[in-house]
Amino acid sequence: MIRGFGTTLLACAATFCGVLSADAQQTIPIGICQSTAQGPAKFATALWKGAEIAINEINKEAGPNGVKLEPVPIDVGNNDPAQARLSFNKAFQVNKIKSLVCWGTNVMVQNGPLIDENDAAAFTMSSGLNVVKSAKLAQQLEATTDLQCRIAAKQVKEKYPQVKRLAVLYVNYEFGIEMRDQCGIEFGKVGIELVASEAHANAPTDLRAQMTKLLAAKPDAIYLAPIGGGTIPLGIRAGRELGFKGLFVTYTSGDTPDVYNLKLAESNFFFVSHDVPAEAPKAVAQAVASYGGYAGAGYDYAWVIGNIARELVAEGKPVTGSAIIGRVREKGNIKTPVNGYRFKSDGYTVRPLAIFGVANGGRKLERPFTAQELE
Amino acid sequence: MSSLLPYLINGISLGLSISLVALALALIWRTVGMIDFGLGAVYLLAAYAALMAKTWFGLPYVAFMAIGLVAGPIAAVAIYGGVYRTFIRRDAALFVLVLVSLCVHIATQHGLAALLSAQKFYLLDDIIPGWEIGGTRLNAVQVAKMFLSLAILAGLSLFFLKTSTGQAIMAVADNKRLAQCMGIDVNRCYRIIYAIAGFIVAVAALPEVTESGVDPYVATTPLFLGLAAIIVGGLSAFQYPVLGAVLLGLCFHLAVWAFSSQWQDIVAYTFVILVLLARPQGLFGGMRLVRERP
Repeated sequence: MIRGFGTTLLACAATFCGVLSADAQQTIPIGICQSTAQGPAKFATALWKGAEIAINEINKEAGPNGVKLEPVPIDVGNNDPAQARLSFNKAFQVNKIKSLVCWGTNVMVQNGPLIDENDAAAFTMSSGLNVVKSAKLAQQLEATTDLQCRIAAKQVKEKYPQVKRLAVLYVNYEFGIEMRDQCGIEFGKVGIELVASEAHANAPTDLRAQMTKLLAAKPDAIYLAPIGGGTIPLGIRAGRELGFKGLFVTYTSGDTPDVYNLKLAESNFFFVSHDVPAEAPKAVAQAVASYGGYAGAGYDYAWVIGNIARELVAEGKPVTGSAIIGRVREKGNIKTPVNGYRFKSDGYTVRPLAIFGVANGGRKLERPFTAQELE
Repeated sequence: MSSLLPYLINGISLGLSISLVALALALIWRTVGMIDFGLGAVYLLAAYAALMAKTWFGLPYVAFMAIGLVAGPIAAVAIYGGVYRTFIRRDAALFVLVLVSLCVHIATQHGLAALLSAQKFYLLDDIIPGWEIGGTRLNAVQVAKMFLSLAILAGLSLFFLKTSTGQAIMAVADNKRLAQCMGIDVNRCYRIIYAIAGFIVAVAALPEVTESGVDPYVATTPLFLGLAAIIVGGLSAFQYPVLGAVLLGLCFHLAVWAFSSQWQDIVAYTFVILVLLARPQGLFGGMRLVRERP
């Protein structure tokens, strides 16, 4: 009887362990980069909030035994590749993440091999053109620099025909330099000449010298290419205070609440960013209104990972980075409740974008571009 | 090449803005005998006090600026009493004090990022009123910074020359043990020095963050430029760090005028090295450390 009891106890213990193990397999930890740099901190918060909405939906639908997602914050400091490396290693080895969303051309490029070595699917919010070349498992989720500049140039050409001369104020590292060069090319294609460019450090506190120099070249429009939102109001204010009455243009990093709240941004200013159409879930639209457009991207990221993981588990396949990226590329076209994407096998992604202005403390849609139009 | 005058005016404006932090650093260096990087923490706490007064209580500009001004001296005296005092009593070596003050600054910086947010917040969302001067436009905040730095320089001189407290502080600075023998309360003098330095730093911080916004990293540049200014200018009189700061401000702006913005830091910091090669005691002399060492 004692032996029988012992056997039963062992069997129960084994079953319990099995249940735990099965449950552990059902929870997929996914990494979301977070930053202590003033600009990226804004869109990091938005990404997290958006991802949380999708994760809550997926976990609720999954029921007690279904596939669940667990968000894991990954601290990349002040967009610091070395700090990111430490945090990536912890996330891979301790948290066992299968996928991550991150940004920073330098962060992603320098850690590309680490991502491949750890078999993690890396969705990148960096606009850098070379980011996806640094890792086989990297897939672009953000619009690339050439696309950002091409759409901005198209909008300027059509809506602001008086603009003939462009100046670029950019952050002085590889991303900003690429932005300056790509905008020179793309605006040049529509007959707008790049007449001046000046650089600034990350998170500057004074842009008057740069702005004075740019204004001496008498530009009709100034393209702002900093890392994040915090610098854009500073640039616009410096320009307006020094008497610039022309057009300010920027890219997706202008899609943050500090820009929405800047009265000076309500005229002669637009930015290119992610559209959240009217049919998107209400919670996502609210998150976008509160935290900025990156909330939509965060939602899409978690939604894609959750649904791919569910499919893989249903087919009895392991949920790994290469399996996630392989499946994403195999499917190609994926429509989330917010956006439609075409994930290409070379790591680039065709995604919808839109032109926004600023009004009443929020962003105002001026013109959407579907993925097909952009392709 | 574009007109030089706007760069000169903006360079002087930047220099006078740096000079307030330089004055606070110089005050502590000349009296307590330490390079106080912890003034960066004071800068941040004054800025965040103003920001919180604005966002949490919806106070008008003048009211939240006043709260920031009060927060500066309180923070400085609290850091002195809570952290530095123990080390100063033990006659800790200069490098220990420097390290401790750097730790205070960095811990505060990251503490604010972790507890509140690393994001940048703006205190004003519109153009700051200003005037066209010499081909550029100076806004009211820039003019205020210039005026305040000169007013504080004059005020400090008067305080040390004309008041008994100021003279007691100078006595402590010259010879702490002798001053103690004369019945001067050294601890009280130090508290007053930190309160004054905290006030000066708050006066530097609040106009600056009105222009450039509040985030946990906003104090780093003024702090290091302030330190460079006192090294360049020298410490034999309070006006020399101010002159050093103006020269640095001019370097930053004239580099853009002459070359491009990528040369700003190269020109400014090469200038610091060249000055120190030519005159290790600073341009106007007096890099003597006043505080006694055992």
